[in-house]
Amino acid sequence: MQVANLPIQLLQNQQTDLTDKSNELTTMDGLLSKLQTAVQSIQTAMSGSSYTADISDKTVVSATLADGASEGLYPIQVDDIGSYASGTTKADWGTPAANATFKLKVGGETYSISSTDNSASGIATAINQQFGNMVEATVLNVGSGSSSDTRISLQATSLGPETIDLQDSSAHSLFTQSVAGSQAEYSVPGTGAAAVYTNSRQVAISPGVTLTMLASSPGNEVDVTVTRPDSTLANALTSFTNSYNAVVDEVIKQRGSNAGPLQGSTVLQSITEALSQIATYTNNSNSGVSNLADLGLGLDSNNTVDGHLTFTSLDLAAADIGNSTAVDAFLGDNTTGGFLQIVTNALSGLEDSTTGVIKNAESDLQNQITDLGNTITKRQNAVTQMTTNLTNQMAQADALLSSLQQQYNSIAELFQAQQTATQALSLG
Amino acid sequence: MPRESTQAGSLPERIRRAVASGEFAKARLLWEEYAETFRADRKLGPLPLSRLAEARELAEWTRMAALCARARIQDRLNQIAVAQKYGWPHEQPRTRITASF
Repeated sequence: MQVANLPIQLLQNQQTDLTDKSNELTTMDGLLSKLQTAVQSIQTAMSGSSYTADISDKTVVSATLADGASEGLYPIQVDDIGSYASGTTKADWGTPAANATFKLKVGGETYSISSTDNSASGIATAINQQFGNMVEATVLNVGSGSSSDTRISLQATSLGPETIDLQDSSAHSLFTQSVAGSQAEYSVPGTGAAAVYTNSRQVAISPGVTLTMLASSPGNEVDVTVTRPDSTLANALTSFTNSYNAVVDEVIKQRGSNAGPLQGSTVLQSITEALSQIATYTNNSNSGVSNLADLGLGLDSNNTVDGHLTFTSLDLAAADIGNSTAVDAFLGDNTTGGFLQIVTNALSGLEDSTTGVIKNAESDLQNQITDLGNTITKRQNAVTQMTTNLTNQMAQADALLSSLQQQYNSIAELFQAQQTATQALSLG
Repeated sequence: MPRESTQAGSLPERIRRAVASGEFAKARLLWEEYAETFRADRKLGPLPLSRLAEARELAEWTRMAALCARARIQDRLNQIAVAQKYGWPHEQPRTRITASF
């Protein structure tokens, strides 16, 4: 094996280069991950949780806001909150025979109650388990002092007139209905529409806006004003801007003199394309909000750093006040469309754990680094073996040289002795 | 084709082959065997001076060849040490060590 075939230093240099790239990719990965988080915060700012409801009379109505809510004024007049049909058993429930059976009757329909425990609580539990969609059963003690008087109370689960009864196996009524029940009634002032009768006190008055009628208040218009504070979305966009610019800064470091390790890489090109796709998104709408600049997000007007975004919250406020629906439409949703979907998809193309360009590049680099490490180890072992062999060979050469002198001297002495003996014979 | 025995040839020839191929341990044993033939032959009668001349010439050749090989080995070891630290100069002419086992 020739040492010239073992460019270990070259391999180590390659390994260092790959490690530098891997480290830079990890940095880029972290920044893009933060950008994804910032995009998610915009999504959250667009959700129902970011809206608030101002109610002119909170004793009459409460409001629940969810995704899909829109800013606006929602007036309502609660004429009657209605009532639930209800009543109690006529007498103390006592301890019925173990084999006794009971029936529930609701709206003319009769239902058998299956229970192995005929106590009041056993029957109430069985009713709630089997017919909880129609009535709610509770056990109460109406006795005084030490005398117990256990009754079962039943109440319909929806508003409106309803007949309720609890009977024994002979169809004898054990129940007294005290409340007949009535529907709730409300109207929407200003629409001219007729009053609405409903079996629920929850009114889905608009997508994402649910009102709950708390008290009857005929003739009293209650205004529910749903708004989304600009600060929530503005904070999210500020975070997005900062995260976006952090990625841009890192990309810039990979270019020009003293460029970073990703210079010229396809990964860098992919990141650049994604950033460009995000910054230049337009929805070609005539709504007044068709690009990022309409939301106060624009490329740095000072042009101090290429590709930086700047955010002007006042522009967002103006757009939101002028046409909040257009703002919502432009931003859209991460799954259905709009800016958020474009950004989400662009970042997924980089960051997806299985298909993302950066994730794949990181994985590839790690494999290359590992392979190089293995090759370097093998070649270092080969060099070590070669060194050992040469060292041994040199020791053997030294031993030969040392022994050689001894062997030759012994031969020369042999001839010297032979010559001395010959001379002695000739003299003799 | 049958391979020629490495034991073939006279002792001086075998010594030269061993040294030339870098088998110094083997060459050392052969030299011991070679010296022993002198002692054995002396017991049989006077040794001709030509054999002393042969031994002198072989000893000198062995010494020079071993020293040259040793220098090359040292050179290789130095090159490895430097190559590990600074990389291998590819354009450098390669010295050659042959070995047979």
